[in-house]
Amino acid sequence: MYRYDAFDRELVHARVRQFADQIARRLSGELDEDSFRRLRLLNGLYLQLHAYMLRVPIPYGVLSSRKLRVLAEIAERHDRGYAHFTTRQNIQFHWIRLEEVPAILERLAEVELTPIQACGNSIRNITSDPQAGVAADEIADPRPWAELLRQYLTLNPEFLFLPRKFKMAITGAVRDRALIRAHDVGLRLYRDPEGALAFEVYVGGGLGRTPMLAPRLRAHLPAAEMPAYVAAILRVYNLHGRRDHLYKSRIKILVHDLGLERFREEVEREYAASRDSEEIALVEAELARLSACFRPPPYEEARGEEKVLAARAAGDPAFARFLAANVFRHRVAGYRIVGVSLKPPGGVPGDVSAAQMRLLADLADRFSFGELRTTHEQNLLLPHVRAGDVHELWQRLEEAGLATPNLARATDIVSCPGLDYCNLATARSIPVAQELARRLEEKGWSARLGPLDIRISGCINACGQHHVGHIGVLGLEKRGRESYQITLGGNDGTDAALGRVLGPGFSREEIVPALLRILEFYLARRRAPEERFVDFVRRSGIEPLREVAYAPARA
Amino acid sequence: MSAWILAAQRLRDGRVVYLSASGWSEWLAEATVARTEEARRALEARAKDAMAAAQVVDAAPIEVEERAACPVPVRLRERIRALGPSVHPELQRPTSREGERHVSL
Amino acid sequence: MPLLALDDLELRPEEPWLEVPEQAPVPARGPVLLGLARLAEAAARDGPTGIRLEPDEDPAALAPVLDRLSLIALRFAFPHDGRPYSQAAVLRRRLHFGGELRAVGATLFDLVPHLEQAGFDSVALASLPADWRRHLERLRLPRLYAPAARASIWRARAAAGARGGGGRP
Repeated sequence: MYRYDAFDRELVHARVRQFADQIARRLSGELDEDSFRRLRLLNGLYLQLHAYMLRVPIPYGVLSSRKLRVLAEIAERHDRGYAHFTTRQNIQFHWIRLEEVPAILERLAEVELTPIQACGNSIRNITSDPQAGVAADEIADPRPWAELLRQYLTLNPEFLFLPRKFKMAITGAVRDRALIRAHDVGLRLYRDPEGALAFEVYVGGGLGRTPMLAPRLRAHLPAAEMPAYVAAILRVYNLHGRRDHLYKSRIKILVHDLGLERFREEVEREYAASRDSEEIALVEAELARLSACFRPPPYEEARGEEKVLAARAAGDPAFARFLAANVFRHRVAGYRIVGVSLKPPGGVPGDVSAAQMRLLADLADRFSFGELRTTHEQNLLLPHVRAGDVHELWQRLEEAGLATPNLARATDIVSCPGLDYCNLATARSIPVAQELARRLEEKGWSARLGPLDIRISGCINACGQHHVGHIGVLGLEKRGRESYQITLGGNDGTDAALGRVLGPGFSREEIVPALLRILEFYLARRRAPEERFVDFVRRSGIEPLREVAYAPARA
Repeated sequence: MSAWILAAQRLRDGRVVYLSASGWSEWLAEATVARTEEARRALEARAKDAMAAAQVVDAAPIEVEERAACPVPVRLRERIRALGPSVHPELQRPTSREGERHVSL
Repeated sequence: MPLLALDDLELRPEEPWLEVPEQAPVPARGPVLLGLARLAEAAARDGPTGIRLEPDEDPAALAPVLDRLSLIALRFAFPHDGRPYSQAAVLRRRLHFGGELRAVGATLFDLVPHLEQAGFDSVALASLPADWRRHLERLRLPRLYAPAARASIWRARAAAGARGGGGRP
């Protein structure tokens, strides 16, 4: 993974010193809250319901055991013993004290982590495929490009004051595991017919108040031109994006208002006029330099272990279930990508204790060349596991409650922190996830339901990404009470789609029974167990499901 | 009848506090209750001073139902702020110094 | 109104740039600052001439007369207005404007280091804090990654690489 050089270190440490100074001036009263708020957001610090929340981006989801140990230490020393993984590959601490932030940032800087641009009107964590570099269906590794872009857009002087926040994602595989079409700019790396690396560029996606899937801006962009092209997009947005209305200032609104054609003309004209071969040469030099950080680890010859793995599965049904749900094929024969489920039914989705973090760091060292990945579903991956080690790793994960065989299944529910933590929330989300997961377990439906993506957001900002869930739940406030809307027919990835609202909201007491009625209907009416829920919804439409959801509750 | 208390968050650590007779208290039960518009405005004035003095942030009056032992916030959001996250009973705190819990979610 | 030069972070004396209002006649001599609407008069003029650009005006419109302009003033409509930064980028990098680029309008002292990194030469400030030099020291930005930054990490790395050195700031 990327390792800082002296320049990176200087930048991060200068930023820590500067923010520490700003905190001191805030605490003394020299800086008022209005001036300070913007600064603290640009350094990853929200004020939430109970305390300050610190968000630390894990750039493109790549985490080392060393970093994870320090994150565990911070959870223990400065928080309440746990942390939360988010839908944008970040980690969050929910109980931070402002006066301790300088010490926390110093410690993070020591392991090359920084909350720069984690929040606020800035260019946020550039996310990627959690299987980048190891995916069986990988076309080209997006990580060097993600790192390149991270640097290019970190404190880029031209783009420090965009109209609104800006989220980007980049993939390089056949399947899009980074939801690029739900981002302000999404990039897909591929090889063109000549075998040269190129990007497909999408622009103007975003969830939240006005969900939109990004249309394609450009089909083919030579890879080395990507940073300058992105700069051209940002420049057009910076100059022409609306600044008069908080809910109309994302780039998706500009693309929508201008129309894609006109927007494309603006970008292409800007790009053609400012294309600078000197800069492209710098990009290539920098890419060459940091590519060295993303070479594969020293894989061993482990092909023979495939048979071992198969034999284990045959003899152990519980292990077989884990293999089927949580373990993924790897680019390299004899290796696997092993998922760590942070969704034990009844647990808080995405939460992990300091002890679990330490254990995962040890397991990463032992089984995965010291590396982990954060996923968009609030889980983790160990990306380089020998087939012959999977069984033992599973046992260690089981002991720690991290091996629930439910990845991409019904109980792998994505849920934002919601009204239990978040200042912006209009309803609680976690308890709904917990209750639903418990009921599904009780009914034994977890595995039966097959691949099923349930996502819950506690407010219209949609951090739970409910719009792209096969089943989405949006928690609102109606007349002082929590009210939950169901959406159906959403999908992420290459086949992305936005869910449709089923009807009026359900109360806190009614939402889980309504969801269960929908699922029961699906189980009864699906053509075969192989017909996934998302396909069933496409086939039958949402009408029958609407009827069932709003049917009077049975005793 | 409307009643109000003043809720804020302590600048240095973000913890929820309430304006009480003896300053800013973590204990909901100690919050000073305003029963008139005038009393409420007085609370707001003290909040403004405290924010200007860099003691607290986001100080604002919240509506409560007045009970004998402890005012109870009307909004769920404020009850969650008073107690702690509903999903972590072990992280919740009592509403009085003596360790009682006068509010449910 | 203090005028801060960004190359040496020193105050410059108030300059005699005359801001000529919309309908008023343009003096034949002396430094004047005109709005975009009066571009033709700016082009025809002898003597130091500048254009003041609004944040929603297209800097490319200045292309035909760029070499006749000694000053371009970019107006900030509000302190965190991001548009002048891109206008500056277009003027500097695409159009290769070599004259003075000045930030005017709702400028903010705390943002001086950002203006400097973004290619501005000077900034007109409403006021300066008492101990402004010490404040600036504290606000100073380190080298930034972007090739277009005044002090660029990528350029420094490339130069070090060319010299065969390691990554040293």
